[in-house]
Amino acid sequence: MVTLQLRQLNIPPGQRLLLRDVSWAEFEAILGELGEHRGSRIAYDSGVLEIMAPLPEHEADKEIISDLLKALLEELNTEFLTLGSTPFKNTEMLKGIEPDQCFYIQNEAVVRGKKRLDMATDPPPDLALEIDITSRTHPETYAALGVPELWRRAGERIQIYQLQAGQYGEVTENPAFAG
Amino acid sequence: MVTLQLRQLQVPPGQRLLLHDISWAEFEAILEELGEHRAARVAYNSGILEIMAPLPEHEYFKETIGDAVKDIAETLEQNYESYGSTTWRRQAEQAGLEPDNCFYFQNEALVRGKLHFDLSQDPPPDLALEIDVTNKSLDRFPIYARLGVPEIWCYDDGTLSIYLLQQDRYAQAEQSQTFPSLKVQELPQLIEGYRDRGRLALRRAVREWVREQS
Repeated sequence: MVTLQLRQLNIPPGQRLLLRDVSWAEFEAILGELGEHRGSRIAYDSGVLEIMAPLPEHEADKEIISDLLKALLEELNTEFLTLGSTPFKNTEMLKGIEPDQCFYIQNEAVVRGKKRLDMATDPPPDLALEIDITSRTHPETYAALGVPELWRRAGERIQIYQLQAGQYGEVTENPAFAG
Repeated sequence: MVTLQLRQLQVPPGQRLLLHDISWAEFEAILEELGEHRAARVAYNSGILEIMAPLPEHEYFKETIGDAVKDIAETLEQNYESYGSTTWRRQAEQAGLEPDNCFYFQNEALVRGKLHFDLSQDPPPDLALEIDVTNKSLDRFPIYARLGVPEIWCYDDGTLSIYLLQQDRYAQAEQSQTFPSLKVQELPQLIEGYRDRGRLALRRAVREWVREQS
């Protein structure tokens, strides 16, 4: 049986890799070893870990849509907090993800100033953004975390999904701005 | 330090992965563990191993161009051997790869019927086929050069380019060394024109195209 070190793996931009039979402890260890300073994005669901290396095109879209959302929120005089690709983990449901971008809006006051977030006690982000160029969206994971709204850039469109009874349904209006 | 088992790694179709600091012994162990029955294709160059999982589109052109090579050979009555994606490797050169397909023509008589190869004694294939070479991270040309493969056909997005080995590097050429009488760059157009007419019609058309030129 061939054994490899995590550091030997190099995922080229635009590519993704799946790792099977990864325990929660290994997932945590992998997150620790990958560290903060990296371009790759991870998602974990019940033993399967995906590591994805975004393309420049992906990052450009992420920045433009994030800037647009921030401009809208400022224009509406709404307080918000962005946490970028922070990993969000649900230990009980064995799911974890790093969104392309995420926003606290309704719950901004609850998490304001917090250095660490624990999904067992803190609320999840109110809105997560996924850029779907390399066909990666993990709605089950976002649903498990309880993220109320998911924005997905797919092709020329931005699709907005809301969590209703544990499932995402596409909507044409969004409540993140309603209140 | 996180340690992983090779069997935990899954490269989805159309995706590729690079592994660093892989010794020759590890490369051989990885080849053995991956086994023969796999879609993934590997390439090795001085410690770096690429694992690539092809898409159906990739396989379509591999098959149609590979068939065209055989139909050309048959029409021109040139004997050949075809070894598909055999792993070609030379430890002394720290180089190994699996082409999309490969053929012996000029050296066919030397390897006829052979089932085991040792490139320190046997000649390398005379012609290798590479599909979507630009979508592979590890540059194939330096590896092919160290294996000594004299001719490579590269198919990429509707274009077939011919590369010939000169000294230790490849130069793009207008004429195939294996089939100097044919304009092999026309093959993708022919294949595309018959995509919805079936393989048999395509194969007849390829043979007809060869006869027209000879």
